[in-house]
Amino acid sequence: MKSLSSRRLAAVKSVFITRNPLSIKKAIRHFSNPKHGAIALFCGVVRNKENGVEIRAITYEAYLKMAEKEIFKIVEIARKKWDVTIKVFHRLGKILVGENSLIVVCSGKHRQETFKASQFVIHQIKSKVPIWKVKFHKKNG
Amino acid sequence: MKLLFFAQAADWVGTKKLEIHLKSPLSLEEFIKKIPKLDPILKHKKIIKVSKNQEFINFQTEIQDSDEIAFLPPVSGG
Repeated sequence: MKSLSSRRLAAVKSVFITRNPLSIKKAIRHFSNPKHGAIALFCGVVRNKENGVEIRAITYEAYLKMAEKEIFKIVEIARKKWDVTIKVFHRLGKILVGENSLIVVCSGKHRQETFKASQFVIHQIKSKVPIWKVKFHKKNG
Repeated sequence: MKLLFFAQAADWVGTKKLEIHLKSPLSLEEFIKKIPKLDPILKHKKIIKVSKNQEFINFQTEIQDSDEIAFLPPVSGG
């Protein structure tokens, strides 16, 4: 069972990079701000085809220390610009087709800023953060 | 100095990690030119990004022995 301190840490922490499967239920657990009227949830999911080839999984790798720092910076920019709360969960290692590789949860007062902040964070993660798809596991490979 | 190579950069250089002693500070580009093993990095200079102690830098940035330098090909997370 988790200790109180680790629960508190999970409540305030905004960036989680893990090799374990991502859970939507756990990702939205700490979003309960009564001033917020919108929660946007984005899941990046491994597709069954990459460049026309059928695959069964993708292996992700990261420069962990830097990836955490960079995602934190992106979240801070979004938080200040749109007055939102954001948590980012990125999975590493071998991820099977249909499983989540990324979850971004964003809550704000209204839907406009919540969607904008969420899109900004996803775009920045995909274009800047040192995380790579390093191996595509072919379905019949 | 610790050098880290990620994704394709590890394939280009043939390793994920190198430790090289640096006697005095110099620019990253000058340093790379002194190490033949790092030739592939210069060949991919246009697409590769570099970091020093987990902060993005450019090839003209000065580096020193205590730094951790990473070579980062185009990212593909998400």
